[in-house]
Amino acid sequence: MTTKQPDGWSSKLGVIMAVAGSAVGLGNFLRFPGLVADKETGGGAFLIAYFISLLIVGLPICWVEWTLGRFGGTQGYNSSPGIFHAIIRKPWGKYVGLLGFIIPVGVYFYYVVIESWCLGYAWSSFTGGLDLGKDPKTYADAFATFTGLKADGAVLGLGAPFLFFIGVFILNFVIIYRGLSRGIEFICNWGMPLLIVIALVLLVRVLTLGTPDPTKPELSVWNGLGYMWNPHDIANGLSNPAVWLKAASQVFFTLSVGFGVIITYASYLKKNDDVVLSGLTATAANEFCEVGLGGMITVPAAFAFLGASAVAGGTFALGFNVLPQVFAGMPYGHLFGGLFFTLLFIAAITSSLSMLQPGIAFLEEGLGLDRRGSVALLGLITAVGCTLVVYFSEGLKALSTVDFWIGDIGIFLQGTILIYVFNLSFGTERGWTEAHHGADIRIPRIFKFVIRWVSPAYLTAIFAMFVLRNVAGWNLSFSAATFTPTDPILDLIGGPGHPASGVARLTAFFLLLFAGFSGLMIHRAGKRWDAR
Amino acid sequence: MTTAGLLFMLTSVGAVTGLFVWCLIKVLTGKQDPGHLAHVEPIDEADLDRR
Repeated sequence: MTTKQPDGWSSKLGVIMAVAGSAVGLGNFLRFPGLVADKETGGGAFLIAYFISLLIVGLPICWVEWTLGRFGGTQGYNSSPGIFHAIIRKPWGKYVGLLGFIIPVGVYFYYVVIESWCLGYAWSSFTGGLDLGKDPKTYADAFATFTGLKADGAVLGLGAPFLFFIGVFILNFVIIYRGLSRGIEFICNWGMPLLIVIALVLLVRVLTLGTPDPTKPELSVWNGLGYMWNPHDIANGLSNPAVWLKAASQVFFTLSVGFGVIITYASYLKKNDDVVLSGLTATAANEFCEVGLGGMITVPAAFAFLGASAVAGGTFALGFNVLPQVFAGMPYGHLFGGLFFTLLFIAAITSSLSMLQPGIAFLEEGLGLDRRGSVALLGLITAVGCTLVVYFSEGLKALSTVDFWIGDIGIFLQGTILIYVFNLSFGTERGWTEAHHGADIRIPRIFKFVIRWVSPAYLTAIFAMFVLRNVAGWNLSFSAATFTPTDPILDLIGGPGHPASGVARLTAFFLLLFAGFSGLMIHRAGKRWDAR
Repeated sequence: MTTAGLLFMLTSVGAVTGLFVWCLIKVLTGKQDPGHLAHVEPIDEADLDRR
């Protein structure tokens, strides 16, 4: 087989923007603020656990993934299966990278659907279609109509929701077809600065809201910031395992580590390109958007207009029910609402593009397809997955099933695998040296110990807790532990008062088929790589 | 907002903003990416005639 370098980054800032674009997503502006503002597991304890998790899991695994990716690239591989094949050098090595293909492509199945909601809401907001008065139910109904929440197949047809979905789906593939530097890097180089500018405009608007309704002086931005940032009972919070679990999970998901994206992006670097400062900068960019911007915009604005009860409804409720009401209540609300949903759309598209590239890389190097062929095959696979999510929209059951098994369990598993492969197969010492090839800054030496011992132990503990909590239904109590199967499990096996869901079962079956098909492709790819 | 809340907000937002700005400065002022032209000798335009 001839080894070709099909694509590459045009600048160091370009790859940083691309990785930051991949990491900055809806979670930065909707999920993180909700977690900090949570009265039971939020507050100062959450922030302390969050920053500790960032230091001992997020940042170290980020450097590990950048390092392994660049190493894999120097060996002629750009996909997770190929890179693990090159590192482990055993016949089973390539299968360890299976999740690095399945996760990004699987998450794309539903992420692009949510991305189309953002674009649709931006359009509706700019055109005044989201100014629905003061009744919260109207906004909930509008969301249900747009997403097909009430009945399967409700959004299929020539209505706006489906057309937005088709448009966004095609747009992603048009951009990815243009390649790494002319496609992803170009979009991220423009999109990320634009995203930050829009967020800063919205931040100024929110911080100058004052007290929107003078008859309710307690509902002010200042009190909204207090609702978000007041520390509560820190000692009690830090002794609550749920706080650590939520903080570590958020760090993990927000940085896109264990996703299969960073390892692929870094594989297009050259041997002496820096990975230490680049990884730190991408991480810092994500944290700036999450803590510095996301933490200051959504919750304070929602609190100032609607009070504390409006904030506690979950990610989708906050983004698509509460905030449209907030924007409808402020002067030039359609403009600021449009800007906010444009911001979400930019954050989403820079992430969804990053979910396609690992798939493209694998199909090109594993099956020998050219760009046209790999885009066509990946387009077909994702079209089937997306159709499942779009059609079975009632209660967003298909979406939440894929999110749970791929977006939650899968990412944790892949991240855990990554840190063990780095330490055991690649070697911590060798990895440390490899990371510093061409590095612009040195990683503080303490991180070698963290990567070798602390990160694997902490990640294993958190992953075990996550599975016990979300699969086995542990109540997170050590003294009086109980286990009650959670909704994703009951959806599959059924239980008292909770019949099994046909849609959840069909979705899980499809995911198994997808995993099996991916395994077969990796088997075939292995034969090509062995023949090198 | 309580004083402790203000402290948490300023510390958290200040820390991530400071880190981001420091990283950006390091990236933009650090060693330049040799790109695809690393092997080409830099040209001093004032020196072109003599060449």
